Amino acid sequence: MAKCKYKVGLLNLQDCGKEGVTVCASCNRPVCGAHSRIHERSTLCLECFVNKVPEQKDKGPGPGEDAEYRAARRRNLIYGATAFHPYYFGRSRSYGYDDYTYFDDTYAAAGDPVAGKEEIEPADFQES
Amino acid sequence: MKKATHKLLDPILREHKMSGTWKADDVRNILQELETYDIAVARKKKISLAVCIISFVVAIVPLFVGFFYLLPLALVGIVFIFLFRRYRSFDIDDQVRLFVKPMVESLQYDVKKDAYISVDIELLPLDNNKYLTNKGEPYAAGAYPKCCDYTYKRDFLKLKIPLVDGNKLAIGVDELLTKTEKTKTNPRGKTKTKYKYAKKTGYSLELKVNTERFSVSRPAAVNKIAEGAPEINVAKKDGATVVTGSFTVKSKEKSAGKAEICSDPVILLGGLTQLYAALKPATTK
Repeated sequence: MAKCKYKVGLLNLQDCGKEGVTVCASCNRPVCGAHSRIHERSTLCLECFVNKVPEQKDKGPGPGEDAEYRAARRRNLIYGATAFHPYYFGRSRSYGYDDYTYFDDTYAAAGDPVAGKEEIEPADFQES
Repeated sequence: MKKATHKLLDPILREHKMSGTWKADDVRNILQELETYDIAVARKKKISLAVCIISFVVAIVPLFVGFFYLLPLALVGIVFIFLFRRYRSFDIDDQVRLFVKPMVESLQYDVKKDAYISVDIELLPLDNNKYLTNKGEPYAAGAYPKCCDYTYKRDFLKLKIPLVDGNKLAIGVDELLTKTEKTKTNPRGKTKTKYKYAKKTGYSLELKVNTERFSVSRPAAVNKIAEGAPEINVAKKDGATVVTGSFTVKSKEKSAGKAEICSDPVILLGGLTQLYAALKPATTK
């Protein structure tokens, strides 16, 4: 599994970098256990969870007790109120070539250097 | 509690002040332990107060009427009165767990790894006599013939944090509390006292900019600064570019015993993001 792509921090965003254990059902990014939450039988990353689930009271067990959840909730509130766009100091902002290859049928062909690359031939183009 | 954290916590609780330089992880651990301690003390305080009240009703009052077999229960009540007073002296300002801890939690990934943070936090509640700076002359107001204003002032928080992007952040919070005590006697001869609290919290933020990474764009002049929005200034200090921001928040509380009108970490962090909004990557000068 790819590394967790949840961005941590408030003023500067960085990659979490931990080993991903699941994929967010909403934004499809791989996330680690600390940055994923289960909501209505699907796994969401913390950011999607905070956006979709209304604030829960900080009493009793559950996300209210969790420091990561509270930090994500506060960050969501601050970014929304101040329209602040933090700087990102991670490896890459978007998904790379390796991330797309996971979805290709040929990905299973391990060791193949061209696995996942789409080969387009002139015959594929048709006149319209 | 970890032994190492326990060692750190002892002098802090003795002096009612968290002052020194620690690693970011240690600061978070200490704040976590202070929260646990504060919650435990608050629970014990509540229990001892309940026992005091129950024993007063069940034992101490009937004792005067002649029910001497209730003497042991009355003694238990008296012991709990002393316990309650003792626990009250251990009380930590709620702002430590409701304002400082969430703020440090939110900034944990922005702090430079293994860097030392300079911390200065007052742990006693704001309406403690230690911070009393002025007691006004008694005056009459409406139905209350005896009113008095008390003013409390302190520098609650000072933090100096080296950030992961090379900037250095300094946060300061000072507080001014005015407690108004109003006393009147009702027709049945009972004396009633009401309290009103007005608090003014001043936040000051200072960002020493790492010019290798960031350049500063002077923010557009704002005619009227909204509450919670910092007034941003850019200056040169000792050859370094420093972005400063300061703002005040006023709050009022009517209920008695609620002197701890807590500051909101979101307001301070929001102000901080606005300071950061004045920065641009150095490559796009």
